[in-house]
Amino acid sequence: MTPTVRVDHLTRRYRGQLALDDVSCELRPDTITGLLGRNGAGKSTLMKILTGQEFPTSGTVRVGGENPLENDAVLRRMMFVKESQVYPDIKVKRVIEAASWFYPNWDGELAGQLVDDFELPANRAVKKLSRGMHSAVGIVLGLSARAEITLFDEPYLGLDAVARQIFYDRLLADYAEHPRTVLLSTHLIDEVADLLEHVLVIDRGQIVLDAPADDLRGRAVTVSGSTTAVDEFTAARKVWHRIGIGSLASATVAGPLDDLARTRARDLGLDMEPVSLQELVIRSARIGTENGAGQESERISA
Amino acid sequence: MTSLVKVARLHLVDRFGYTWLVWGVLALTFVINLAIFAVIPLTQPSGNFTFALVTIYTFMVLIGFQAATRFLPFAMTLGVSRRTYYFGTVLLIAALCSLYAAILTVLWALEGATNGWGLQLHYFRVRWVLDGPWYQVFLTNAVLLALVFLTALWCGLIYRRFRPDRHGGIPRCVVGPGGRRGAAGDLAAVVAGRRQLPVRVECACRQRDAGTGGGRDRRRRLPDHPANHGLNSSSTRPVRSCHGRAGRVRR
Repeated sequence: MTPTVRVDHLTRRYRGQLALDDVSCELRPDTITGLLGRNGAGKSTLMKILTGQEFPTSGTVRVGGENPLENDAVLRRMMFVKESQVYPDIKVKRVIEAASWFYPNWDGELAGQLVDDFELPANRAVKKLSRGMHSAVGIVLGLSARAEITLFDEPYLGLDAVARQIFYDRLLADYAEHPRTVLLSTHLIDEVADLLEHVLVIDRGQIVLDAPADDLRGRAVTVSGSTTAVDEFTAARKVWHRIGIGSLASATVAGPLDDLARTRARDLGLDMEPVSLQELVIRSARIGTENGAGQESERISA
Repeated sequence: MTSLVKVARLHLVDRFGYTWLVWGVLALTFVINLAIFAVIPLTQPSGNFTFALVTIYTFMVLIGFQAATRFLPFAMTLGVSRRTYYFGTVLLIAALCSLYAAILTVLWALEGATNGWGLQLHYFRVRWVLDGPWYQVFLTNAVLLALVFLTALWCGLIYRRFRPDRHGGIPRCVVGPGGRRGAAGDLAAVVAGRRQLPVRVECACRQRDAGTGGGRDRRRRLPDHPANHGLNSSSTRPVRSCHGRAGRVRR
């Protein structure tokens, strides 16, 4: 069975800088979780602590009830592909060969397919690869290892759109056949929105959003139309964001909207659009940086 | 035990480094030495002396350094703990250095039997160091090779721990992280063999996000930095306590 990853009151302080601030969360087994947040929000730090590569200042990490720190029994069930993974000065095929020894579920066939898909030159030394190809090597390892817990930290730095799509497709296909826990940190939120089952948003070391992706989809709605109609509709609602140009306005209101509200909006001639995951993340990150963050965040959860 | 063997195998995946690099360059310097001493007259009445055998030791330094800077981060990605990596590497080096020392001893014996390759050359019979009986020569070579490798490995670890911040140019030993203990404490933790390590081991994985701090600070000072586009609605940041636990949203 895939172990559960639990984090309790995790704090990581570098001198004069709080990278993680009392983070508590749980990665449920066999789900794809997105770890989203701005640069320097603490995504990488969290992933490194989860895999025992970094030491927490305080708090605990438990993978299947055990501390992953220097614990081979736990670590061999995990794979962590970092954004700028360092490889020895060896050929791509040797990197793949070496990785295959460490994972019992390694799928050599899949690795071969991925190498073809990404058009990786198997005989070239890793240090001579381009930025994107370097990232592709990490993806090949991460997917082929079929580790019970796979962590990808910005896995596609420098990868083109086609290669990224290959990654999403392959991840989803392989995940469907071999369910496992995947934690994916990324900036390209809209691209992965359909992939994620659970979303964790981290901002300045704190978890600001921790919810199933399905819940998030109805959490907010953007209505747009004439200023008067928008004002009337939003009068009794919580408004996250509002912009107006002349007589037109657009407002993001907390959802979900019931049938009555929808009918009302239609009667007022308003257009309704669900808020994308990306926008939701931007809002929650912004809320974290503004004063009165407490109330705003509660609005999201309301 | 098997994971130790896997780590040892991981090193040997670098076939070039452990075979051609070490022995190829040694062979090259040997040929050059032979050529030089073949054309010049005897330098000393007791024979021709050279310390060119140091080449093989130089390459052990290189391999040892890479073991810390390149193989360790890779091994950690593959789910190997630092301790397993260290002991696996030591295991490999013990075996490899014995093999290398055996080859060097055979060559040492050959050199003695052929009167210094017919040139009274002392290439493998290094004066004062490798002058004893064969088993002393074997032991001296084996121990010295392993020692040189491991010293380089530890130097590599210290380098990775304290190497200057790529962006800020300030060495990590000055800036942090946390800075509660020095390198000695960190490195000791590698082999401490405890689950709950009282000290933090800062390994190679640290350096890649070394720029985060500096970079973020720079962005904070510049509200209209592109990275803040669309996100940074207020240029003044609240005190952290203002958005403490209340800022968290959980369902």
